[in-house]
Amino acid sequence: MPRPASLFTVLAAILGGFPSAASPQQQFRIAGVVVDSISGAPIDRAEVTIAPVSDLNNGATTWSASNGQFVFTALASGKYRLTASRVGYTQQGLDQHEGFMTAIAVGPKLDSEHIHFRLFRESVIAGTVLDEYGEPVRSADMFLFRRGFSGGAHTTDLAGRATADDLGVYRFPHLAPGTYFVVAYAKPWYNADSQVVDKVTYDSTLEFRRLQAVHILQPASPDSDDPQPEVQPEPPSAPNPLRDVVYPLAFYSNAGSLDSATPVTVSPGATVTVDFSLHPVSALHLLVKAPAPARADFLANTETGTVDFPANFPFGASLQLAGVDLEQLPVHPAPQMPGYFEVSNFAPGEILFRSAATGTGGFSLQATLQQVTSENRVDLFSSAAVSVSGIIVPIPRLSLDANGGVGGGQAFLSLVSADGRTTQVSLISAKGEFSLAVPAGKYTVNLVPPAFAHIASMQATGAEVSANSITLSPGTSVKLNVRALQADATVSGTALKNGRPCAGAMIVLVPEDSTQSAALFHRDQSDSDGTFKMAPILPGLYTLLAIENGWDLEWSKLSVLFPYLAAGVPLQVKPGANVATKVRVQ
Amino acid sequence: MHPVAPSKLEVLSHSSSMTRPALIFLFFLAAVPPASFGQGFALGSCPCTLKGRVLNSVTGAPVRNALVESSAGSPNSTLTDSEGAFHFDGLPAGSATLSVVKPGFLPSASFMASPVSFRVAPDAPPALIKLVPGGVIRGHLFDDHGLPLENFSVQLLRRMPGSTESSPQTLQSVSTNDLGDFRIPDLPAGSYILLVASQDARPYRPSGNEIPSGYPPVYYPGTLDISAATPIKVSAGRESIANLTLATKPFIQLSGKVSGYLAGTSVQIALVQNGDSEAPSSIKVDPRTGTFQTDWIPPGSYNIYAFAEGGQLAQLTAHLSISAMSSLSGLNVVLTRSANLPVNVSGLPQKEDLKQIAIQLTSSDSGTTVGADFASSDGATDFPSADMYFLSLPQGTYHLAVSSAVDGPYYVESARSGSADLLTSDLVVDSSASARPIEIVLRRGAATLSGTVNLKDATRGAVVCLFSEKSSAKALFHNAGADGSFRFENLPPGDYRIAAVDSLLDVDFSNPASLKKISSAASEISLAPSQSLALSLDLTAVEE
Repeated sequence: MPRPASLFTVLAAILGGFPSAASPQQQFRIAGVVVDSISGAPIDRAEVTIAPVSDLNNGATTWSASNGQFVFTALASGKYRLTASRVGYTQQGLDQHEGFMTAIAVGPKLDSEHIHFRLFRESVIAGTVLDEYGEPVRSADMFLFRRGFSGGAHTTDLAGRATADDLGVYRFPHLAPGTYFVVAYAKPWYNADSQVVDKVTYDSTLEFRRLQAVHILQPASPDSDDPQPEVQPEPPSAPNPLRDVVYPLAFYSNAGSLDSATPVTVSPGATVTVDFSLHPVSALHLLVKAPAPARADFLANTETGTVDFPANFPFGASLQLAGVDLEQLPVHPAPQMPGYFEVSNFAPGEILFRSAATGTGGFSLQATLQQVTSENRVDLFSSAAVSVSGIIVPIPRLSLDANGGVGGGQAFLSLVSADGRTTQVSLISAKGEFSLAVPAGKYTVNLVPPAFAHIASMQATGAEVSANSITLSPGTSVKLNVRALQADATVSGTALKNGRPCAGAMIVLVPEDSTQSAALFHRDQSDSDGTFKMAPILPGLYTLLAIENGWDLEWSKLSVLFPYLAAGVPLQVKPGANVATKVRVQ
Repeated sequence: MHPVAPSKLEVLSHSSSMTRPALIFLFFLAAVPPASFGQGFALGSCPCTLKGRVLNSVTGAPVRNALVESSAGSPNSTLTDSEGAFHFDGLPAGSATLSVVKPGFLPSASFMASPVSFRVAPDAPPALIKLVPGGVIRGHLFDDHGLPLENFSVQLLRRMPGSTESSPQTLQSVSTNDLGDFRIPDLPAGSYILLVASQDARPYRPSGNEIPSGYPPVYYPGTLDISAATPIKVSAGRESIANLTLATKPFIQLSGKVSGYLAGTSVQIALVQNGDSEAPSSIKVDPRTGTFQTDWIPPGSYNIYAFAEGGQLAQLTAHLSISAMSSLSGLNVVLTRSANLPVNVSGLPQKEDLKQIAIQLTSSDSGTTVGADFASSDGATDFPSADMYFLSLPQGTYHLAVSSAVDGPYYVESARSGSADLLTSDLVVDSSASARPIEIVLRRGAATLSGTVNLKDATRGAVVCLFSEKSSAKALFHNAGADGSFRFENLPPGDYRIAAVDSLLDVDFSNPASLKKISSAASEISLAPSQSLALSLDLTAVEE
């Protein structure tokens, strides 16, 4: 069964009572055994929870006996989602792959009493962070990234944060088996700014990381042939070079980037040691030209993990890695340089600039980076901004998944520059209106999040459009009318193997036009009765596939799925349609 | 990242009270001025170099890679080399103050001791700076099956000598990791108490069982009662180990009746567990009968507070302290009318200076502290005119504390309420208290007493006790810095006895007999108005 909802949602919901089966003559059981994934030994005292797929907030919990067995009785027919947890094991859904798991169908002639629930022992990555003198780096910020598999493609996602203690020791406990990368980030304790650095708490619900523009900054090279800015700024009073040093982001082991980092493979129950030795380099200082603010501060909201800028502050800057804010960088008005701000004291890496929003419904998360006028200077807002406003019909609706897949969110319209460096986002208002300001240039227009609606066509006054791209000329003001295509269809069916329903098969809905967006791919997993259901689906032409043990396939890549397409089921999905079909498992 | 964030300096002058808990992390370095401080030297020709070394005060080993900051020179900061040595070049003749920071050592910046000044001259001897290493408390938390208890909070408490608060101050809190381990570094030498609590308050309730159970907060080594807690002694640069095994306990319920509120008004009851920094949990009360019952709670010590409107700017309040090891019923919570107590302060040159005076009352029952306010304009007409007010003060016994940040050496000459002398006795707030304003007389000419305790053993700390010869005036206490430095300000002129006690001796400073013993071994001193006296003290032998 589908719906990549988090396990935690399920379990948090489960503390309520469980309804007794509606009709006394139709009562069923779910039973099985919890075992160690490696040894196969039964696991006692595991907490096993079931919840009806139709009402995940209404769960029931039991504990496995000494022989690992568990049983739920007096159940109404229907589909149930199972999760299990135990001290020392990772919390899991039954046969879980990505966010998908096999639900157990309960009813007449259905076998729901021979479940084999394999639990993975949890693992630990731990180590020590030492400095150039072999002394502990206290309070080093440790970031754990997991090589994941999400949305049908490999991803590298933040999987944890930790802080080194006074001995430089850190721990990432309770890890699921998998492949990880460990990153250490710290400033030398004697760094001049060490005591004033603001910390931004990472918030996994921050959805806009892919929209953030990034740019690699290099230390100034003395022989750069940069164009002279109109104001030749005097360098600010030089900090003591002894204390103006930082540790570069350290990727295990001694790698300079996430791509070249050594993957740490963690098997169930293992404790893996990952140690770091940090060596300082000169800190970078960046001069940024931007309109002077009325107030020279910005706020890191540690409660929500977001960064709030007063509307009158020109920008904030943060050090980023794989879309994660590692550190909110200090921004000061540059001394004796009106119009310039100094982003000081940071390590080489990706710096993200966020500017306060203007006229986008008060939503303040925007990213702008235009051009580097010299090796160490960035000119924000230099080109004349083009204002783009308009309306979208119909207004994209996000709350389509009754089981809380993504519902309740807000829809955005984004403009992404051709070089990918600049992204501007506008909230789509309740009336379908949007408004943003970007530098002139060529942009791709997208709806965010992409799975729920798609741009069918665009018309512009004051600019050229082609498919979903738009070219903006300097000094213009553009009106944009967007026609959206709403995802509102449903595709359901049964996976068959040798003519019989097949549980736990990977189901993929492959769009015919796969060049548009990976978001058009859909994924599910057949339940114990072989059935599956996917929604919302954008209207269009698709091929439906059922694949056994295809868990490692990058299922949002057409080239990967190509060998399977011939044996798939071609489908035409019309707006609002409810398509039901059988599909043979390959 | 916050490596060695310098502690905030909170400069408060206490005329009658003692060191505030926030200050205990501010101690210090042992800055030993060069023994051969030159006498009658001639100003040599400079620019000169100020050289020095930084040493570990306990081991005597050089401290490498310590950050030394100087009041003079450019650049004005440097790191020590592998021999602990540093130098600042090109300094003009005169003097420079130095401060030193190194993780793992207590910060050298001191709020009380004036910065250590070193002579800058061609013949000046090298500066020798001793850094005091912090102590560590670490340990494991296990359940009674020997499995680690993760994500339990471990609070570090310290009983401040002479504190009027009934419970020790919470200094910081850490959590146990997945191995059940915790670690609290950077501690000044002294005696500490640990309070360990589950951060998941939900009791475990086996299905069908009527009484839930869970982990109650316990003090090291595993007692529910703070008076039975074993203090953990921390020495400079040493690790002290505190392992605990916790067992679940059946939870309890408290029930009873509130009385004394006006018919038709509502009563609120709040329950606060000792040592729990969370917001109090409210208890449902039946407004008709006044009966109440708590949820299932861990056994332990609790404060119950009740409030009701008393009409006419008055509140009805009640407070009950309970140590409950099993369920209790029939608790009687009797509301009494709170007092609105006027406060008048005289002796200051201008009324504006009142804003620089903090007047606090600490309840001897609940340990809570309230500060006097300037009355808000809306209610002011209903009160007699006064400088400040304690509004809605629950009935009970209180200790008065006055602190002054007024520019100038002020001390409290007298503090009275009716016939009660609040410098020597507690304030009793009863139903007639509103008619007896607190009258405080401040006077210029306070004395200052500072100095150093000769610690001999650098791993230890000292508590300096100052007894006024005025009959029954309360004693003052001060945790000396890691280097033994201490300072008392805003002292009334007069005769005193002073003694320094090893902070690792378990002296109960709230016990009059212990104090008498210390006092009898103390040295006599006399302070003239506006005098600044500097002393060198040896530790007093106190046998317990």
